[in-house]
Amino acid sequence: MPIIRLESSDKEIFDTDQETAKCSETIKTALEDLGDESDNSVLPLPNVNSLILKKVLHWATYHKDDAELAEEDENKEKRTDDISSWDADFLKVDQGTLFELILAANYLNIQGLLDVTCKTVANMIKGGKSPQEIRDTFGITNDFSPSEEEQVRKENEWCEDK
Amino acid sequence: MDNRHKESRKIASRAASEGEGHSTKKDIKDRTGPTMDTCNHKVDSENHNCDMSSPPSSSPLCYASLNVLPDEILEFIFTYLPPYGDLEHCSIVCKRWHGIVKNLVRRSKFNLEKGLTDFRLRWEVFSPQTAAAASTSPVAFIAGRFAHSAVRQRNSMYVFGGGSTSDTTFNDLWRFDLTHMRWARPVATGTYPSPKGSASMVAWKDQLVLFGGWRYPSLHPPYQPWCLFDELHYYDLGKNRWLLRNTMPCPPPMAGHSATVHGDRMVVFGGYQITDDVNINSNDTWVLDLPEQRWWQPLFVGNTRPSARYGQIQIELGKNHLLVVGGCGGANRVYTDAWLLDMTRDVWSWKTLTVRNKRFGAVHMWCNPGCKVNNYLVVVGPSPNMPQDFQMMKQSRVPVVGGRGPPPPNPHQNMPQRGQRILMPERRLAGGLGGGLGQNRVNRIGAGGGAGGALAPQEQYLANRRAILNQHMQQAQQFMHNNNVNNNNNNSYQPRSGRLSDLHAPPAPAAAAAAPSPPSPPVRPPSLAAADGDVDAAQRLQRNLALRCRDNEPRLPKRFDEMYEDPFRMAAFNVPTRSRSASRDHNERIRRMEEKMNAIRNSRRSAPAAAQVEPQPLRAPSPKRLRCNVQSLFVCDISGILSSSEPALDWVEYKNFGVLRGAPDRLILSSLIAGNGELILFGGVHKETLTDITHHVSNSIHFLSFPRDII
Repeated sequence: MPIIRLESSDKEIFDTDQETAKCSETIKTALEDLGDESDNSVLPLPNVNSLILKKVLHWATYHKDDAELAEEDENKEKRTDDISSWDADFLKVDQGTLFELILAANYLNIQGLLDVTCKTVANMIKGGKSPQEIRDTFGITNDFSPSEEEQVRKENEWCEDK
Repeated sequence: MDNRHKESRKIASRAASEGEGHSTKKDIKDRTGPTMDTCNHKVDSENHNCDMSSPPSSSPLCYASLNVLPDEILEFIFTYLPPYGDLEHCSIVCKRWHGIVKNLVRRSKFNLEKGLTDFRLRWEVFSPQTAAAASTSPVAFIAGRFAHSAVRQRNSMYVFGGGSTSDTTFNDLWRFDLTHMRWARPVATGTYPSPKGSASMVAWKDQLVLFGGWRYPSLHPPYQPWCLFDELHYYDLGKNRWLLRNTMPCPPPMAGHSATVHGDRMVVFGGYQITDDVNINSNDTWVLDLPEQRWWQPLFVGNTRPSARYGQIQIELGKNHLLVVGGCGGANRVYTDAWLLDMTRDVWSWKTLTVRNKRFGAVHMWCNPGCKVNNYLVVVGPSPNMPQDFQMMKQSRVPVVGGRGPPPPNPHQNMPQRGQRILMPERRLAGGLGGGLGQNRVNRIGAGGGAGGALAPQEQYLANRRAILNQHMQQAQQFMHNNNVNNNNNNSYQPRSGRLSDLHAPPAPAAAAAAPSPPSPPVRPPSLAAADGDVDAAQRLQRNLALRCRDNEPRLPKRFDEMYEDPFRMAAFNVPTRSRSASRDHNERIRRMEEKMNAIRNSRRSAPAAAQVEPQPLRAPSPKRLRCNVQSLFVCDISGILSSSEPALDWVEYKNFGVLRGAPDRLILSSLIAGNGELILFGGVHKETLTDITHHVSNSIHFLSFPRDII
C-alpha cells in the first residue's frame, strides 16, 4: 500500500498507509486531487497538531477495517452507551484533547471518530445533571441574568409555534 | 493557508445554513473564570481551531474548552441527548447553548414532520434487555400490557392499567422518565382505581384524570359477566395521591371511549356502555368540568352525529375543536370516517369530514393507536398489504368474549379422551372461564401431543398455523352462536355495571336477572343453530378435531410470535361475529380453509418423522417475509380542518407500505403518544394470542424518530 505523508501544523511528518488515511474524507478527496503525485508529496494539515494527529491516526489504524456502518439495523436499540471498550479507553483523555479530537475529526471528516467522540461528550452531559453541574464539568460561565434564567426555564420550545 | 480558509469557509457556510435562531453572540464578554475558559464564538470565526490565536489569558499550551467547538458540532452532540430533561438543562447553561438548543428543537420538529410525510423515520426499541444492558444494577421494569392508558406529562410518560398476559387487569400506575430512560413506579396513596383496561386518562395541570374502563370478570363465582366502570379518579402528581370522585349525574359505565382536554374541560365521546342493562355502543358526549369535578352533557345542533362506536381516536384541535377518527361500531362495522366537533358556541355541532386518499389510510383504527403531531395525525397499525383479518376482535375488544365465552357448542368434542373435564353446555353466561379454558386446553394439548418428527422450522410453523386455525374455527363456531344470542338481546352477555360498591356484591342480582334469560339457545346443539350451514361447519369442525388428534404434532411453545405472513391468509378465519347473512360466506371460507388444511396435512405426512423435536424459535422464513408482520405508519394531514370551509382529511401516500426500519411487531391495543421530536409506542398484545391462556403482550417501548443527520 502506498505510503501517505501527512504534515501536522507543527511541521511533523507522519507516514501512514493509504487505507488508514482514507478514513478521512478530507484526505481522501485531497489524494484524489493530487492524483499521481501522491507518492512523494506531503499533505499538510495545518489545523491539526502532531499530538492530535498521532491519536487520530492511531484510531484510524484500529478502525480502518470496520465494516460500513450498518444502517439496516433492525430493532436498533435506543441507547447512547454503546461505545466499544477500545474506543472508551482511547477516549480516556482530558477534555482538551477530547475537544481537539472532535475538531480534528470534523476537519478531517472522519464520521466514525466524530460519532464516538460526540457521544462521549454527550454522556458527560447527560444523566440528569443540573445546569450548574454541566457548567462546572466544562468550565462554562453562566451569562444569564437571574431574571433571564427564570424566563428561559419557563419556556418550552417544543410546544411553541404550534 | 489554503486549507485553513477552506475549513473556515466550510464551517462558516454550514453555520450560515443554520438559518434563523443561530445566535451570534458577539457580545458575550469573557468573564473571570477558569483559565481554560471560552473563546468568543463568532459566526465566521477563525478561532475554531484552538491552535491559533490563544485566548486572552491562557497559557501557550491552549486548553480547548467545549465552547471552542462550532455550533453545529455542539448541536450534533446535543442530538445524542434524550431531548427531555438534559436538553432543557443545556438550554439554561449559557446563552450560546440556549441558542443552539433552540435551533436543535426547531430542527427536530421540522425533521419529524418531514420524516412523517416522506416516511423517512426509524424505530428504536427500548426493551427490558436494553435497560438491563444500560445499567449495572437490576432495574424495575413494567410488566407487559395492552389496552392500557398512557399520557405524557412534562418529561415522563405515565401508564396506567391495562390487560395483562393472563386475563387480569392492572391498576398500577407507572412512570417512564424520558430523561433518564427508566421506569419507576410511584408510591401512590389514596383510593386506588379498580384494575381495568381501556380507561381514558388525560393530563390536566398537575393531575391525571382517569375514567371508565373494563375488567375481566372474577373467576369465582364462575361465569360472571365482565365489568364496565364509571369511576372517575384524579391522580395528583405532586402528592402521588389517587382521589375518587363520585358525582351525580354521571355518565354510564363505559370503556373504549375517548377523551381529550380543552382548557378546563374534559370531553368524553363514545365508548362501549351499559345503559338500562343493555350493552351498546354510544355516540354520546359527556363533558367533565375538571376543576369542579362535575359532569354535564352538551346540547347539539341538529341531528348529525357520528355513529355509535368505541375505540376511536380523538384528537384535540385547539380549545374549541376536536376530531374523532375511526372506531368500531360492532361486528363488521369498522369506521374510517372523521368528524369534527365544534364547541365554540353554547350549542355544539358535529360536522362530518371528507376523507381523501383513503387507500393510504389506516384501517382498524379502533384497536390501533393514533396521536397528533402538529399538523398530522399519525396512526400505527398493521401493514396495508396484510390480510384484513380482524373480524375476530369485534367482540373481544372487551375481551371476555375473545376466548372466554361459553363452552364450545359441540358437546361431542373428544375431550374426555384427553382427560379434559366435560363442559356444561347449559351454562352460557358470558365470562365462562371453563369454556374458554377447556377449549384452549383442547387446542394446546392437541397441538402438543405426541412427539413430532424432527420438523423443519417450516413444517413446525405450518403445524402451528394449523393449531391456530383450529382454535379459530372453534371460536368461529362459538361466536356464531354468541352473535345469535346477542342478536336476541339476551342477557347472557350482559356486562354488569361496574359501580365500585357493586364489585364485591354477591352476583345474585345479576345472575338472577340473567338466569331466567339464558334461554334455550345455550343448550341447543349446534345442529339446531339458527344459521343454516352451521351444521356443515360444526360437522367439519368435529371431523377436523378428530383428525388432528391423530397427528404427530410437535410440542408447541406456549406462546409464539407470529412473525410471518400466514401463507394461507387466514383472513376471514378468525373468529368472526357474524350476522346471519355473512355466515354463508363464512362457511365458504371454512370449506376452503379446510381444503388447505388437508393439503398441509398431506404434505406433512409425506415428510419424514423422526426423533424428538425441541421447540425451536419460530424464525425460519426469509427476512422479506419477516418484515411484513410489522407495524406500519399511516400519516394524515389535518392542517386544513380548521381553516377551510370544506374541511377534509388527507391521508399521505405511504412509501413501502409505511414500513420503516426497525418496525415493531404487529400488535394491537398499544398506546402512542407524542414525545419531543419523536413518537412513543408502548405495550400491546399479539392479537392472535388473545385466545390463548396466556397472551403475548409487549412491555417494550418503541421510539419513532428521524435518523440522525450526518454532518
